[in-house]
Amino acid sequence: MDFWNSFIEFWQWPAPLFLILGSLIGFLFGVLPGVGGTQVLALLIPISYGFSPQMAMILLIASMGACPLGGSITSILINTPGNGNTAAQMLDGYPLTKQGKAGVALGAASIAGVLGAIFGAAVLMLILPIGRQVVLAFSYPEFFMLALMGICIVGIVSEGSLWKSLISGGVGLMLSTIGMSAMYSMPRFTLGSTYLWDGISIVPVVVGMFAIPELIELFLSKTTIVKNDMVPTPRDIWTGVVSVFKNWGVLLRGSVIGTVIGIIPGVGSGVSTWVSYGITRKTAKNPEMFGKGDVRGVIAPEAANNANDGGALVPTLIFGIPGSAEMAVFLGALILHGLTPGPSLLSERLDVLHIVIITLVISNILVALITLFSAKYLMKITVMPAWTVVPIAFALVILGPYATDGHLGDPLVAVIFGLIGYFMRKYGYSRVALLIALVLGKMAEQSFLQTLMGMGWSGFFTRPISLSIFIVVLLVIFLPAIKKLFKKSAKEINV
Amino acid sequence: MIKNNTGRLVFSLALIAFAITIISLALQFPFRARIFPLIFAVPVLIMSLMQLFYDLPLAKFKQWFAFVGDSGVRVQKFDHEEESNEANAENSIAAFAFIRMFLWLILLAVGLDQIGYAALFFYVLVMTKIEAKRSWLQSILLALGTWLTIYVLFVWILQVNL
Repeated sequence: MDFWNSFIEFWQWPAPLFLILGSLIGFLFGVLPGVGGTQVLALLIPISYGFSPQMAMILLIASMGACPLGGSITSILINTPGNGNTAAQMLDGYPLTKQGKAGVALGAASIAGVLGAIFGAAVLMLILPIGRQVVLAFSYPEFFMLALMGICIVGIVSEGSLWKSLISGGVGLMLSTIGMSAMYSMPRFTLGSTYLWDGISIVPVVVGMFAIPELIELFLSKTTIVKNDMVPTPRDIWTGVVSVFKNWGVLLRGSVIGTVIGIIPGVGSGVSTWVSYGITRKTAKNPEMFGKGDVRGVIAPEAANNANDGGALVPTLIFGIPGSAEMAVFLGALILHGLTPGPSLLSERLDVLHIVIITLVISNILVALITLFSAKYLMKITVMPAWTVVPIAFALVILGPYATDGHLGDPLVAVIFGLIGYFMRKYGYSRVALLIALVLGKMAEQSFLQTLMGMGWSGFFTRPISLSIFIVVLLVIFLPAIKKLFKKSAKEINV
Repeated sequence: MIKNNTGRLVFSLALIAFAITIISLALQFPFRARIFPLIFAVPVLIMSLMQLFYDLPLAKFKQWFAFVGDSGVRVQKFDHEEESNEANAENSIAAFAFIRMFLWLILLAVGLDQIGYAALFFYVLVMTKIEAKRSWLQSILLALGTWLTIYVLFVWILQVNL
């Protein structure tokens, strides 16, 4: 069956109903702090059991595709990420909101998200026939180099004292080693607590460090997120939409980064958003604008986050290797519906693959439209009195992680990191640096040791992709210094 | 000024204590399990020590560790901090309020664990009535509305039972 026929069939009843239902549920889950794609899939799989494989895929993929934008909305409006993958959107999204430009951020996030998802889906479609070679080109040395690249971003995205940012990054890397050792079946630094065997969860850390101090500050200030003279206007939404097309290079780069990182199993969307944000900031003409409410700081991670789904489906569908927890649950759904991932899926059930791609795109379009049309009302949160917004936000911040895991550990981790985040901000230590290092630390350690054991030190530098990423890392670190040196010598020659 | 610096010193000391704990625990692990934590814990310990010396109110140390180059840069300032810098008393009230907020959050977490969703009602009620000093009617309405919305959302729609 060709793609066009699949597209026509897609619109036959009851597929649109499943599409709308899935998108709405995914969007709702995305908005709730601490709840994300993994949970929504886990909830919907038992419900989808009685449906045909096509309808089940529409429901599941629609919910998965709608989740990221939902998470970005809370990152932008109340500095509380819906999930760990939307934390980077806070850096510039929330400052925009505080300036009364929530509409700009929401408009930009919606369009960047949908265009990123279209890019990811297009790559998924094109790459499926050659996906096997692409996925196999990546191994432990490449994983380590990617993690290294992400960690180098610590120096790029940090404000203030670089010294303190490096300390924060080091602390984040130390925290990432808490839990079961990657190489030995032994717990490390768990202080006798079984809760810490899985390591420190990212979501409570993000929520704690970024949302809790901001929300407390807002509550104590007894004002609104936006000061009264900067009331957001619906016209801003259009400005945000236009800004995406004006910054098409940022969008394209974010989409490419999101898709490529998505294809690599085990790296995940959280990495792609930070890499995309960091590179955009590094290559920008005026990087000092980032962190203060630059719309490019919203476009880059949002495009990467949404493009990631398309990329992540490549190893899941071709090899049955889930690249993330979300994809692992989705893989279970495929098997449950009698769809075996691998070459047979590509040759025998191409209709299902087409449906996956179409649903991914249309659910993103649908959820972007919902966001654009509801943005006018969503922005009202920013002018509501703190005493109405903050207690509800706190309830969700604590309830979200607790409700999904049913463990008191997550809310307590959120509160502890809230306290740490408060003092880090007060004394000028970068919270972003700690977070990036925490996200990437586990992967860095595992891939570093596996490369050393399997290939030795040469493993890092003899594989072409690994070496290429290493050169990019070096360029990221030293390019500004080299540029400065050239400028200085050029000046001296002129003199 | 002195008070602000004391906070910085205490924070640096906490970082040093954390790094020492990680190092001392890591040394008990097999080589491959300890190498990664040690690679980062040792530099963090050294850097935090230098930061501590730099923050000490001694001119010589400031000179020796000038490369640490803090220069008091802060990522962002709290709005109320800027105001409260004018008076130390206000500053301590703000700090006390922050701690109180954290305690309420811990109580909410424990409450959810012990009595389930009902804890949300009491939490919002306490925050609105005691902390925000709103009327009883406003507090009860907000608490009830929040509890009902979350209950419908989590229990009825999303089927998440505590």
